[in-house]
Order: sequence, then C-alpha cells, then structure tokens
Amino acid sequence: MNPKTPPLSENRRAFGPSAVLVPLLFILVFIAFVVINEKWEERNRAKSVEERARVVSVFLWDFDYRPADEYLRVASELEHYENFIVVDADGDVFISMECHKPHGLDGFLSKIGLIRVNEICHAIEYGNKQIGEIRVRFYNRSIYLYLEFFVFLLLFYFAAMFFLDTIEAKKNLEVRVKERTAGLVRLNAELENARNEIANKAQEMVFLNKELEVSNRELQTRSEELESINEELSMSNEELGRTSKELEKAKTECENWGKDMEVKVNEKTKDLMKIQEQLARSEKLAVLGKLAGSLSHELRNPLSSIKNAVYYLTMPNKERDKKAIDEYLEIIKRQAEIMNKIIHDSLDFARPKAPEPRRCGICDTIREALAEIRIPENIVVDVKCDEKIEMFIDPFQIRQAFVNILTNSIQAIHSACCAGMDGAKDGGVIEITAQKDGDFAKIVFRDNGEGMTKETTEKIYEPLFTTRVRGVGLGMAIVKGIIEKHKGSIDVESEFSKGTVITLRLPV
Amino acid sequence: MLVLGGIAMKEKPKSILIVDDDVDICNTLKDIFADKGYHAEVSNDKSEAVKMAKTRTYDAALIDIILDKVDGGVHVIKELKKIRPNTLFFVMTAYTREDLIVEAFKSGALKLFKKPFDIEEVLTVIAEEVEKKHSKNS
Repeated sequence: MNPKTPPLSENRRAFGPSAVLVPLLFILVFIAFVVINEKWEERNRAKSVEERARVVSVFLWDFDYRPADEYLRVASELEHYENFIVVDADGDVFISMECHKPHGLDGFLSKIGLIRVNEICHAIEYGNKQIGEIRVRFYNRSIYLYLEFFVFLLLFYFAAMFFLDTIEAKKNLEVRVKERTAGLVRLNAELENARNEIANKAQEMVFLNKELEVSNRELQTRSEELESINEELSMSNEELGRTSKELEKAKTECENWGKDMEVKVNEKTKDLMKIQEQLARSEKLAVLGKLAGSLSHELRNPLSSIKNAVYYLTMPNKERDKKAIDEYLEIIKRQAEIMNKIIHDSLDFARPKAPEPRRCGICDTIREALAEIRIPENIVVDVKCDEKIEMFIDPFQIRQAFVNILTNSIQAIHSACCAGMDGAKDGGVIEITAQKDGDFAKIVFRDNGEGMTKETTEKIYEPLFTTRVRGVGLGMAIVKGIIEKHKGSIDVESEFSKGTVITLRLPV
Repeated sequence: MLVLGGIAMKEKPKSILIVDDDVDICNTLKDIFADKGYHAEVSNDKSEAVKMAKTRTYDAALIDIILDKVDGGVHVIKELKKIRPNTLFFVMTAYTREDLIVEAFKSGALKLFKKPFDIEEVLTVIAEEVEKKHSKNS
C-alpha cells in the first residue's frame, strides 16, 4: 500500500458551504433585484398615470367629449394595465376601458394570486378643483419569467459543479485503481515466484531422491560388473594378441589395394584423355566436313561457268572473233577469282593468320575495302571518316573484315529491295562513320537492308551459319576472329525489315 | 538462221529459255545454245522469266532449282507449267537438296543436270527431247 496516497474523503470535493452559499446569494440578489424593479416600475406607473390625468383633464376642460378612441390612445400608451377608468366628480364612470387582460399563463398566475394587481388612482383637477378621477389597474410583470431564468441559471450551476466534481472523482479513482493494480501485480508476481521456487525445490527433491535410488542401483550393478570385467579382462588379453596380428595383415592388404587403385586410376585417366582428344578431333572433323561440303557446293557454280566458257571457246568448227574470246576469257578470270575468294575465306577461317600490324590510317583502309567490292547502282555509300585517326593494325585483315561486313550489307539491301520493304524502297544506303572514342576508334556500318530477326542476330558469328541461298557462312565468323585478334570488340544491332548497325571498336 | 549444220531448216527453230541468277552461266549457255541453232533467251530473275513466258512459247526451259529463294526454281517451273504446259522443263543445280529435286520432278521437270555439268550431255538430252516432241506433234 502506498502511504503517500491521500485518503479518498480528503481528496474529494464535496458540496461544501460554498456550494450552498453561492446559490443562496444568487437568490438574495435576485429577490432584491425583483423588489427594486417592482418599486421602480410602480413609481414610473404613478408618474405616467399622473401624466394621463393631466391629459384627460385637458380633454374634460374643453368640455369637448372626445370620441372613445382618443381616450383609448391615452390609455394605450400605458403598459401592463388591466383597465382604465375615468370617473367624474360624483363618482360616475365617465369612460371605462378593459385592455391587456392577462391571458395564457399570466392569466392563470394572476388568478392564483402569483401576479399582483395594483390600482393607481389620480385626481383630475381643473384649477384647484377636482373634477374627476382616473383609476388604472396594473398587473405586474410576470414573476414567472424571472423565476424561469433564475431556475435555469441555478440548474446550470449545479450541473456544472456536479460535472466538475465527477471528473475530479473519476481522475482520483483512476489513479487509485492504477496504484492498486500495480501493487496487486507486484504481489502476484512475488507470489508466482515463491510458488515456482517451491515447485522447483520440490522437483529437486524428487530428482535427488531418484538419483539417490539410481546411484544405489548403479553401485550394485557396478560391483557386479567389476566382477565380470575382471573375468573378461583375463580373456581379452588373449584376444588382443590375436587381433593385433589380424590388423597387421589387413594393413598390408590395404596398402597393396591402394597401389593397385592408383595404377588403375592412372590408366583410366590416360584412356579418358585419349577419348577427349578423339572427340575434339572428330568435332573438328565434323566442322571441317561441313565446311568441305559447303565449299564444294559453292565452287560448283563458278566451275560450271568456267566449263561452259571453255566449251564455247573450244567448240569444233567455230571461229571466234577477238571480242568474243576476250569476253569469255574475262568470264573465266572472274569466276576463277570468285573460286579463289571462296577458298581464301575458308582458309582464313580454318587456319587464321596472326595479324602483322603496322601504322596506317583507318580511312585509307575503308576506301580500299570499298574499292575492292562492286557497289550496285541503287546503293549510296556515305562515308564520314576522321582522317586524323591512325592505327596500329594489319591493314589486309581489317580490310577483309570491312569487305565482309559491306558484302553482307549489299546483300541485305538487295533482299530488302526484292521484298519491297519500306526502308530500302528509295534505294539502299550504307553509312560508314569512323571517329575516335577514348582510346578506341569507333567504326560504325549502318545499312537500311532487310535486317535480321533476334534469332539470326544471335547466330551471326557461328561458322557455316548463313541465311543466303548462296554462301558458305563464314563472313562474320572471320570478322569476329580478326577484330578479337586486334583486341577490339564488335557489336551488332539489327531489326528485321529496318536495317542493321555494326559497331567495331579497335584500339588506337 | 535458215541453214544449220548443212540441213535445210524449213520448220521453226528450236527455242529455249534459260533461268539462272548467275549471269555468267546464263550468258555462256545462251551463246552455246545459239551456236547449236536454238533461239535462246535468258533471265536472271524468276518474275522476269514468268513475264517472258507469257509473251512467247519455248520448246524447252532450263532452270536453276535455287533462285534467290531456296525453292525459287521450283516455283518458276510451277508457274511456267500453268502458262505453257507444252514446254519441256529441265533443271540444274549445284546443291544436293533431295527434297527440292523431288519437288522439281513432281512439278514436271524431265531431267536434272548437276553443276558443273557436261555441256555436251545437256545439249544432247535437250535436243533429243525437243525432237521427240516435234515429231509427236507433226
């Protein structure tokens, strides 16, 4: 229990003397206000009745009997009057007006006497002579209105007090409940701990008891075992002698077996290596076989032309003029060159030569490559080359690479034209740009030919891969080999029916 | 034109259409066939060949199986056969694509010449076949 907590009764704000005194004071002030107000009103009424009396005396003095509404006007200027009577000197009623009869709640209150009615009389004088009297019965302003307001104020006061008191009490209670709860929780935890400790102790006791029993039993068995071990020991001694001999034997056997395995493994490894070599050789042979097949087919076309030309020139009984002979010799020469190129390409691929680099301008190499191939009339070649770029390359090999790329571009544009593709409908364009890019020369070949599908682009460097009816399929494989040997890189971007961009980077 | 190999030719000269995308093969064959008395015409392009066949008839046509597309030649034979069913079709090729060869024969080819062929054999075979056709017609 927290000793600091104050007792509940002390902390509580009760309805003390102030709570009663304040409303009492309210009531007193209110009554005083009402009384003063009444008196003030009565005084004012008396004054106004006096005024009316004067007015009426003027009416009467004239002996001019005014119509009733003139009197009514005089009366209506008064407030809260019940009736208005003017009597003459003999006490006969001259005019009587009933007005403003209290009605509704005021009527009821005046009936039970809660609203006071007072009559004010005033003499009507003419000179010093009294000629009549004016009598006005007033009823007071409804006290109920005051009361209503007052009760409401009082109720509000009490409600506010009660509300504030309740909030205070609630807060106090909450604090107390929290403290009590905390205390209870603490106590609960302490109790739980104590209970756990007791339980643990009990368990330990049980456990100790069991252990004691077990140790007891073990002691018994140990003594029995010791006896039997004693007997066994004498027997084991003999066995040990035998086992050590057997172990010795097994060890020698193991050693021998290990040696055998080593020999076998070595033999198998040699066999495997042989098989691998054979495999590599057969793979190479397969590629070569394919290459040879493809090569022989490619050679048959030019060979056919040559055979035809020779037959034509050597036809019996035919005299050929010089022009025809020259023309046919030209055919033979051209076809022989085609054959030579096919064989040359194959050799380049099969036995690539190491580059023999020397300093030369890249633009010269591009021009040489363009001079080497026949560009069809419908193709425009646009070269933008930085003449300052000098490189340390094998000009023959690089030229060969350029020729191969350009040949592909020309064929791609030819195919695009045949297929009526949009890109090449206004003729083919090959753009070649060469510029410096850091430590590299960047050479870009861009064409608006038929382009390639993604699958074709992936296979482009595979030897013997071709999409053409004619051709061995070594062009790009050779290009890649040459560029890599020059420590450069090659990148191909292509979109089918749009064109191809080949970017080469060669160290300067 | 009128006197060939000492024989008076009153009948129309034999005509042949040669289709191959290799210009040199076409030109050499044209000259050789012309020397042998044929009216020879050549085409390097399949659609051009079809156009030519529409304007006149040929006794024989010698067509490469592979023309810019793999089955280009076979396609030409089929087209020409529709226009000129009486023409004799012969095919030549440098490649051994069995499926295409079979297809060419199915389309109406009479004989295949493997490149590089013996031109004498080509001339003999075509001449015999054309003769046979002429004698049949007469």
